[in-house]
Amino acid sequence: MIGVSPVSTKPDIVPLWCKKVSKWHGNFLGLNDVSLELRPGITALLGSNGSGKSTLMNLIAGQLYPDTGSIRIFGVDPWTWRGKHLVGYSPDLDYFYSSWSINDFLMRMACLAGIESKKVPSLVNEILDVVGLLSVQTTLLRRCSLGMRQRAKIAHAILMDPPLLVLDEPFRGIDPVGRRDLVQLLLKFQSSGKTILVSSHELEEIEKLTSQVVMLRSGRVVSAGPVSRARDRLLNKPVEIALEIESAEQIRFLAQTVFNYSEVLGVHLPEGKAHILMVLTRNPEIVFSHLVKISIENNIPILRLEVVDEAPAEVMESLFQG
Amino acid sequence: MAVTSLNSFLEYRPWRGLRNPVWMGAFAITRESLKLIFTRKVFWVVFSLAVLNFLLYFFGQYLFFWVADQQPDGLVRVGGFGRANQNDMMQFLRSVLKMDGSPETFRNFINLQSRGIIVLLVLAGASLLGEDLNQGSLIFYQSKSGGMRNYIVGKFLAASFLVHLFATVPALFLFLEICFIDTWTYLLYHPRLLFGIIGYGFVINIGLVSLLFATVGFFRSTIGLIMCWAGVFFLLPSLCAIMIDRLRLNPAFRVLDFWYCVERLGEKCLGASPTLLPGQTDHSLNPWLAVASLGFVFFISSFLTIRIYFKKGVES
Amino acid sequence: MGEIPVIQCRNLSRRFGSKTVLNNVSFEVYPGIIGLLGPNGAGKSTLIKLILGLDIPSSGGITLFGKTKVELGKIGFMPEAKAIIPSMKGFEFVAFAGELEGLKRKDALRRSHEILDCLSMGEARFRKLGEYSTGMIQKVKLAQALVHDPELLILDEPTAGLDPPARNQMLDYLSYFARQQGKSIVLSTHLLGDVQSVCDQVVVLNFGNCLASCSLETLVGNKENRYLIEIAGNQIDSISALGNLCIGTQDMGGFTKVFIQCESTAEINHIASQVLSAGGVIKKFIPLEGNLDDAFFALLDKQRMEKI
Repeated sequence: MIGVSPVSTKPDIVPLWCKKVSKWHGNFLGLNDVSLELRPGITALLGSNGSGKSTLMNLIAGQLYPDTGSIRIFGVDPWTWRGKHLVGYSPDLDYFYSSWSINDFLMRMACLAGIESKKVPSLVNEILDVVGLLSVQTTLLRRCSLGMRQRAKIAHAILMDPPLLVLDEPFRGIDPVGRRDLVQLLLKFQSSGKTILVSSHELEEIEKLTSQVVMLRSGRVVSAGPVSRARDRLLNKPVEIALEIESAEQIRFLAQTVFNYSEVLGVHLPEGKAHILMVLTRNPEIVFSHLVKISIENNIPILRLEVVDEAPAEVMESLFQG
Repeated sequence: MAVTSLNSFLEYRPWRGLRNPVWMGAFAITRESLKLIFTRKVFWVVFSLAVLNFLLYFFGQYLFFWVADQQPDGLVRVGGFGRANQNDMMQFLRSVLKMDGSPETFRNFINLQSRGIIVLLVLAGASLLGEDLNQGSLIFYQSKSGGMRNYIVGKFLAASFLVHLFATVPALFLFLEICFIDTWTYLLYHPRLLFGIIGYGFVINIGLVSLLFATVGFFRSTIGLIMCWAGVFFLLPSLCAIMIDRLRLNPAFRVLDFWYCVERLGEKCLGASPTLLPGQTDHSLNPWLAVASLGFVFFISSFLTIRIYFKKGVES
Repeated sequence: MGEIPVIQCRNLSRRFGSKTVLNNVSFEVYPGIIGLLGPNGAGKSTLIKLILGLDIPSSGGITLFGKTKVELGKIGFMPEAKAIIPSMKGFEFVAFAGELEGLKRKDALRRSHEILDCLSMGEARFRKLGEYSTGMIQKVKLAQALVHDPELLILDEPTAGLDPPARNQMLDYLSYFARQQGKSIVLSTHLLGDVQSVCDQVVVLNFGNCLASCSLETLVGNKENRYLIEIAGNQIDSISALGNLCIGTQDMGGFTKVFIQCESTAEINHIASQVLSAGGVIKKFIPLEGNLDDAFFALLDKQRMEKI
């Protein structure tokens, strides 16, 4: 089961457990009382610039120490070396030793991480194969495209085969091919049982990866869990369902029939689109089943049935604004 | 459509007006580059030093002609220090300070001012040109109608403006001053001086600005620029001094000293005689060699400039 | 379309020494928004430079608006690089760009303010460019491309680094200038979503070859008789109830995306009722539209296969 849930379980069995974590940068409150618990799978971290995304990721990766509260990765404090072995971190900045090749970079990082020197070359080869850089391993880092550099950073993050990966803006600026490869790589990690926390501005990529989202704003968690839950909590508005059928004649009949149900709050026919019926409701699942039943009974083939809801986009919009 | 609600009152308006010729864009570039320089502190520091130097020469001239008008062999009051002999003062102003309206006056003045220009260009030159190369702004200029031609012309005009602001224009003022306080016959006796001043101004202009373009294009940072110009303006003269004064090599080796060549050409333009210590013989460089040196620097710099500014954008 | 093509390339090639950056590229595109797609090293930036006339093709030719020689001031270009002068104020910079295109100083200033109004840049225009956020810099860069009222806009990565609202706003402006002001826009981007949401035509490049140049609908197309159902509730039973109609599933955490294939529209209702009776909850039920991602990668894969 993938998911985010409010802090409840014991900290030593969940991949990531944060309780009342705050972090100041001087007078500026970077992170404000964040409580969070991640389950295995991919979770997206969304928020505008300065909302505390990078601070949270740095805290989880053990690069910063929380001013108040505590963080546990399988019950271990990430600030300790034991904890650092459990988390792989790919920062958003890429300052590399630009005159090294990808291979050099990983070899040296592996040695620094304390892996036995005999095992290093085979391990590095294995990891380069996983991230798909094996054929280009001798390229100098300064000549790498952004996509290759992102994958080099991820390769560095998985050197110790940690169960938790923290990736800060891995999709920034890469081309479509690099993007697809990265999505597939992350899905592969997910299926191998890792827990991944990934932040991005590009919602399409996030949509491909997961529906579990942690939203941060001004250092506080606005919502954690599926996007739809955030929508329900933040915007208390009924949703609209669009129904498209083949023939325009039966649309008014359908409208009349569906209006008899108590869950339906309103019905309207959009101008210029004769095949489409819009239904306003707070309970789309039940109305869906009503609509399917009506059309089966009256033998009206449905072409399309979906929730037309601008609200998640609105939520995202206000999340990123300002 | 969302846009109509974004700003429904202020719709986009097409524009069909008369356009200036494309080359006029170069003046816009000149204007904006000068604005950029005028916001720099270093400009105002160098400028005030240059103004002080100008005032020194201005009142020095004035003093010379005033002293000349006093009784010969009379005593002139010199502040609170007592009185000086009129002849001694004339001698001092003429041969030591050389503030007698002779070609040497102008040569010394412009030489001093051009030191200021060098300091200014080396410190502010990177912000005049270098930032465009570093930030990838060149493509902005390239994609406009005038392209790189306008850019080079505009920046060249801006740098030239600075050179003439510091050297040629104040020198012409000094010339005019002497015309006023001496007699207008001064103009008749020294027409060469007038052209000499302008000529020297252009020699400095071409020499320094072409060097600036090439070195900024090559080094792209103030530090690199300082190192390179320090080499040209300190190391080369010392090297030449060692070679010629100590090792007694052929004085033609001074051709290596770019700045000496510029000054030598200026001297020739003004018709001034070289400064010699008593008993020294004239080892000045043949002016044609100086022309060759300047020409060499100009062509190498132009070549580099064209390569760097016209090619870089295309490849990057 | 009986119109003159905005850009027409005929057997266009560009070689740097032994390296071929563009290889025999031929396409023509018509007024509207044109998406220029391709991975890194596909030759997009070289093509843009050739269109702008900053580079000369090794062979072949380009015509813009049916003419080989471009009239001055017909093209506006928004570079990908930061390409700003940090010490200049926003409106000065835009006016400066106008002057470089030959506008008189007063016209340039007036146009600068008009366009910044149009892009809803309020008081920020009086601040220095060095203090701008990425979103504002992108707007100023768009404004400087528009200041001389060009007919063709070439935009290199206009949405790079923007957060979702700023990105949507930028795309809204692009479609406004194309649909309501009749500008042609070439949009070079890595974000396929941008292309899908605003572009009419697409040009796909890879390794210097033109893989496709057609309208977006032609490239993307619809997939016959395929549907996507999102099922929550009793997912396992619902999927097994569908049997072999189901051609793929994807677990999204909380609900499952199910792809199904069915022969006729009459069968759809049957499928829906099966899901409902198995205890599933339908969250979405839509015909599977082709999306640009798939079409794009299919093109790249096809090219790779041909090479082998």
